[in-house]
Amino acid sequence: MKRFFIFLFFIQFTILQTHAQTISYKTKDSERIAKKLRLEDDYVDDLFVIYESNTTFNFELDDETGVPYAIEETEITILSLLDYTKYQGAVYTDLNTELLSIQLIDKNMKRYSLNYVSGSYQNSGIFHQDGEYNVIELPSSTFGEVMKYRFVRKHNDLKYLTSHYFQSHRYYINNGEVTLNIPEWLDAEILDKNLKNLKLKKDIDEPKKSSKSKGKKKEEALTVYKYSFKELDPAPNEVNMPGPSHVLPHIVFLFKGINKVGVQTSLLREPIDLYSWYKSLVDSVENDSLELYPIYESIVENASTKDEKLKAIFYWLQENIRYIAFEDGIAGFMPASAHSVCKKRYGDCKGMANLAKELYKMAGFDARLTWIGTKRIAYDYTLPNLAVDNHVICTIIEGDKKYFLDITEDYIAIDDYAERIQGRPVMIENGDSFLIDTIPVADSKTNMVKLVKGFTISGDKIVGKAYEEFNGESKTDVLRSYNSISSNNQEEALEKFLNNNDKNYSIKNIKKPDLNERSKPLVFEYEYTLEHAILTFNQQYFIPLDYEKNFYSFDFDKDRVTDYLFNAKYFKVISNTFFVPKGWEVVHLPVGFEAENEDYSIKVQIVQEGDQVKYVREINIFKGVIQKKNQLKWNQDLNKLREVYDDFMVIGKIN
Amino acid sequence: MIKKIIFYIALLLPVLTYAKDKEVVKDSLYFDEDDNFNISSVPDKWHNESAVILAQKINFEISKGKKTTYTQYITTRIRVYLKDKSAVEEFSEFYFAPGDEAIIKIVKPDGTEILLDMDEAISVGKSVTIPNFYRKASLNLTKEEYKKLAISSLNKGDIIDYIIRSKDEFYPKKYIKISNHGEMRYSNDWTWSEKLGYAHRYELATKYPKLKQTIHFEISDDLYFNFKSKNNAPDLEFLGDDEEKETKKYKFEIQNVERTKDQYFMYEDRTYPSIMFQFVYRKKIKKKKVHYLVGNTTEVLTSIDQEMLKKYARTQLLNSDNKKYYNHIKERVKLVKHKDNIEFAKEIYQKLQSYAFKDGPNNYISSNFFAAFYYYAFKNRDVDFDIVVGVSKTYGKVEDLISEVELTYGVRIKSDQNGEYVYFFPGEAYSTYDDKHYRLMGTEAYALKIGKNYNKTSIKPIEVPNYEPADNQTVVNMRVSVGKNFNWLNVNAESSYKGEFKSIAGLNTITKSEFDHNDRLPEIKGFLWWKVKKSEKEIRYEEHLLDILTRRRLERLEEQVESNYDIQKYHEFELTNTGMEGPNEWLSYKERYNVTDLIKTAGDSVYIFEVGRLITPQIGLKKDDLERVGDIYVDYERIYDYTIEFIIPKGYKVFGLNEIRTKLDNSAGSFESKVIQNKNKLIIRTIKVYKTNYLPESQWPDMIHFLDKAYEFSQAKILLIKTDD
Repeated sequence: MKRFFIFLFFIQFTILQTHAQTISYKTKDSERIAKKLRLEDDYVDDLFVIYESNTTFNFELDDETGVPYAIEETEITILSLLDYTKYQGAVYTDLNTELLSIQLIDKNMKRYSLNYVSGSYQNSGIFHQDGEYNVIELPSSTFGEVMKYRFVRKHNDLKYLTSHYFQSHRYYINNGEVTLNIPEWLDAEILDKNLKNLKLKKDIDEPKKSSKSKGKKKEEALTVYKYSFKELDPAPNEVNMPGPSHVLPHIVFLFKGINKVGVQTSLLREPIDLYSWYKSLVDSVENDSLELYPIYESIVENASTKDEKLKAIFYWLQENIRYIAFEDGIAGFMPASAHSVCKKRYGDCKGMANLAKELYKMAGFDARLTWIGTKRIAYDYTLPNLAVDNHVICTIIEGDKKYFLDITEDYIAIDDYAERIQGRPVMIENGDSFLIDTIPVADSKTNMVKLVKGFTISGDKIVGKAYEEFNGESKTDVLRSYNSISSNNQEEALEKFLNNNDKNYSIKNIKKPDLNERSKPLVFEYEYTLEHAILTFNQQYFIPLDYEKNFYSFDFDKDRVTDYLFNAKYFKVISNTFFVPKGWEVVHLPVGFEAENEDYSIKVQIVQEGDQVKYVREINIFKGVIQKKNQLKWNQDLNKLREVYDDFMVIGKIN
Repeated sequence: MIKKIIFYIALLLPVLTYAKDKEVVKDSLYFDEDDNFNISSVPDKWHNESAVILAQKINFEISKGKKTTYTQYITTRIRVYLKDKSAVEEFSEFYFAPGDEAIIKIVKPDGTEILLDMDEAISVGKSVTIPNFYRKASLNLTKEEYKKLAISSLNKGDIIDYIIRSKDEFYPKKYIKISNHGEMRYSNDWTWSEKLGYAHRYELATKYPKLKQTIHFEISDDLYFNFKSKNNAPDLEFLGDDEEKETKKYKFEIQNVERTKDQYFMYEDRTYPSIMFQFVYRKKIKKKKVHYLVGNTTEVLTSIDQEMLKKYARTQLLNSDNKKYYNHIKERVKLVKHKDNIEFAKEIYQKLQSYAFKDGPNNYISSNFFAAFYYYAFKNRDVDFDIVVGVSKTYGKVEDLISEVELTYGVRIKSDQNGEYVYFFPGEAYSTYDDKHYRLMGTEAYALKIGKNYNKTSIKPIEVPNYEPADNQTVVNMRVSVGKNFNWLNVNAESSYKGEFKSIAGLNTITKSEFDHNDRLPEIKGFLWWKVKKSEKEIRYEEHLLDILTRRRLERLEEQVESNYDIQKYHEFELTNTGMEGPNEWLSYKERYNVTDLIKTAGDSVYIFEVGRLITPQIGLKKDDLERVGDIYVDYERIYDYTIEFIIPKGYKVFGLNEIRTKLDNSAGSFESKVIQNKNKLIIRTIKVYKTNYLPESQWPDMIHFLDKAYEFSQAKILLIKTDD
């Protein structure tokens, strides 16, 4: 069409159109299911569902190299819930996964090759990764009819085939099947994860002759694992939900070894095999100590004790080495050399940890590389599987004490650990073997935010003084945010942070702390004036005692299905003192309340002591989690908290 | 066959030439001697800045190549002092396009220079979003992949100094391409029109202050060069001819440019210094038909006079495509030929709009075609009809016009009834002709009266009238009562929109079921989308689609209310009038919902009602908003009219009403709240009027007072106290 009108209307002229009736067709129940789903609230907005999804993994050995690989064949039958709409699907690949074919299959099982468009897949925050998505588009749909396509992927190295997830990211699956044909020569263990509460059936069929090994010289005995499931909802996509391995149904592959005449190879049989592989990569890195030494000397120039050197190196690394993530092939596992990271002033977690290790070694510390899976990961080091970890840090062993140093965490104090690694098992380098340990878990009070205010009324305003103290991760967050803002905007940003960007809340005479100091509590003191907050009538003042009202609108959606994970454990204490002006008396005070369960406690106390009204509110979210089972209770407790927030104190003039 | 071979050889030629020249480009790329780029210190006044651009220069070189080709080099060099961590992060990644040459050096505080290894750059892969800062306008993203480099050795206190150079060789069949790199701010830099050529709007102020910037132009002497300095930017300087290279040289230089600031009511293009320029290839300009706004090749064109505009606009509007599509559409929409000219103009507006948006609201009508359509429709009528030719006020004034890409069109027709001109401008999917699409309203423009030939065509300056505030209105009537145990408020709201507001509200609230543009169009056979007799599948599709769209609308509107209040339940929505049948009709809808966070307690028998929040959040100016840079631009004059009828619960009285009665009227606007109590009904009416679309910087205090008054009302609370009466 001409440029006068841009139409979002495209007509596809493809050869597939001529076969429309065999490509899109009805099955005995497809229309019935489509009609049923259209009436259900959860699916009424969906344009498609997956009618059938069948995935089969077959395992083979490369004839020339003897290296095992897997062929994954997936057939997806989509069911249309809206006419004239085109289904788009994506198949993901990376350096270790090859896409062999994508085809459309018609009613008569005739196959047509499908064109696909590839694009780089990038997670935010990762500078470079090797993932690609390959997008296909099926012909225009008809309500109640199905269309089938298949794709075949080759997993070139079983080390990287760590797991298989059952759900679709977008679509409900009516019927699904995952089949693993494990040949006799492959020593494998399959672990079921989060499969309870599903409409799922698992069958294990012990060795039988393969029917799939077409073209092979000899038939192989197979153990067949078959997972059949139905009516599976799409994977939830909720804010602050646990990592996928915690909640989504999946299976974990442990490929332990090959036992075949003439070929006896250990793959990842035990955790030591995983460690040995990591270690072999680390050992192949050549660190140039001579190049590093002058830098080391300048870093510790003013540090005389070991403790000072420990801090000097850690803080120098945080301030001078930028975190840039690389996740492409072997670069996802092998650290860059220490001197190159130092010279470039950037690196990923492995490169930064490796540089830290080298610098600490120069300072005479026992420094070791350490692998860790962050909280996002549900597994521990009993599993010899690459999915167990996703991060590398540096451990310093000083006698009985271990310092777990995560260089990627800006502005963190040496004894603080980010929530994402607390309580997580670590695999520490120890020559040919490894040590297992756990990162200490901090109490929520480590992250305490304390707000102390003293205030009274002046005309139609509230005037007062405030003291705000930040500790642990709450402090790290403030330091990090402040220092990431351009310097000409920092003062304004700080003011907006302290007054919550509220026009009514003006602050002055801020006593500003050193916003680079990370080892002490971060304290701000200031004076403030609050407008439009109080009412006056008939010689009475109506005054809010808690202006911050944390969590005021933080209700959980009743449809939420996962636990809510805060970024860190939460502990906040607000202690407000209202000074009753002379000649006035308290007429009404809100009533405090308390609530507590395994996830959180909320306490509000309000008392009058002479001419002072003391309001103390404490909210403690012990582990930084509100489990699904406690979310309804949270909503109920929040209602009570809101009642306190919304109840104004009243003072009246003494006649 | 021979033709085919020649064709393929021709395709290969530029590739071969390019490969050879690449070496030359690389050799010429080393940092040249330029005193501006030896500066390493920052003036005292900018010591607190995040980064300071110490020097920046861009060289545009467009010269004749072999035979009919042109060669274009664009070289950008920039030297930036990174004063804090945020600036280091900002400059820590560098992207460049394939084929471009780049060199980056880091200058350490002690003067040590580190040259980065550009071979370490990696391909970013297809379809990865490139930050605007580094994006090159001419690159075909589907074919080529950018490279990116993580900048090494970078610290606070360092200077980053880079050069990036692109070379392009091309046949100037349609336009002269300009590609560029290294602007500190990409957005709004480019405008283009496929047929008319590229124009380059270059903003000189950026998020960092700039000590000095030069732009050198060395362009082939057979190109037409338009150039305009805007908002107090200096003029262009002619440096001389290079007879051997057959080029002309010019220089632009600016110093001490302060950084930009985010402000309310600002048009960046009218506030900060900028330049606008374009090059046009001469052979495409035929003697009689003027396809470009150009002067002559001997000197730079720095302003467009009335006669040039007359020639240009006439040719543009009467182009063969416009005529062809006028005839095409006219046949299909079956215009009713009203005798009254204004009625006929309305008919055109409605039919043209229905045709343009029959497939959905995401289309648009070009103003050029809109004006041409009216011209052809009115051509043989006895009527005072003008094409309105102007420049959107968001860009600048018509006197600053320098490129055809800035032009926008409409029409005006003198009413037979009252002798007044009625203006028509192209609208959006749910506009009626009272939405003038504010860009030309209140501006100085030209009225072009097209005659049978050029000599009988005339042009004269006019002033397009301003809107009256009443032309654009949001009117909300709310009936509010207290819910069970004072736990929530029941709100029944009826919202109505007119003028500019109607077009916006329509996109949010009208679905195909309520208004279908196709219903206005006659049945025309042969077009799938105009089928009147639909198949079963088509009917089913429409039912399902409407079901989905209606549900999504409900979710959207619920979210809209939720962005203002905590709601317990959003009960219902009903569109009562689409407002599409006539210009004076209002788009109206009703909503019913419960709000939980507007009612507070003070003991058992006192309630506090935050009534001011019902007029939705108002602009709350902060400390940094009080200082103003530049004049004040309001898109359009308008009125927000809220009436809140509150049912006072039995046994309660309201207090604090005097505090919410308020009135302010100044040059920027007026805000008034009136309160009437009638038995158990409390009626509060607020009227906020933006009286003007422009105020000089000096009147910012008026705007502050006006906005603050409305903000203060939005914070208003009243008391509900139980009485024994």
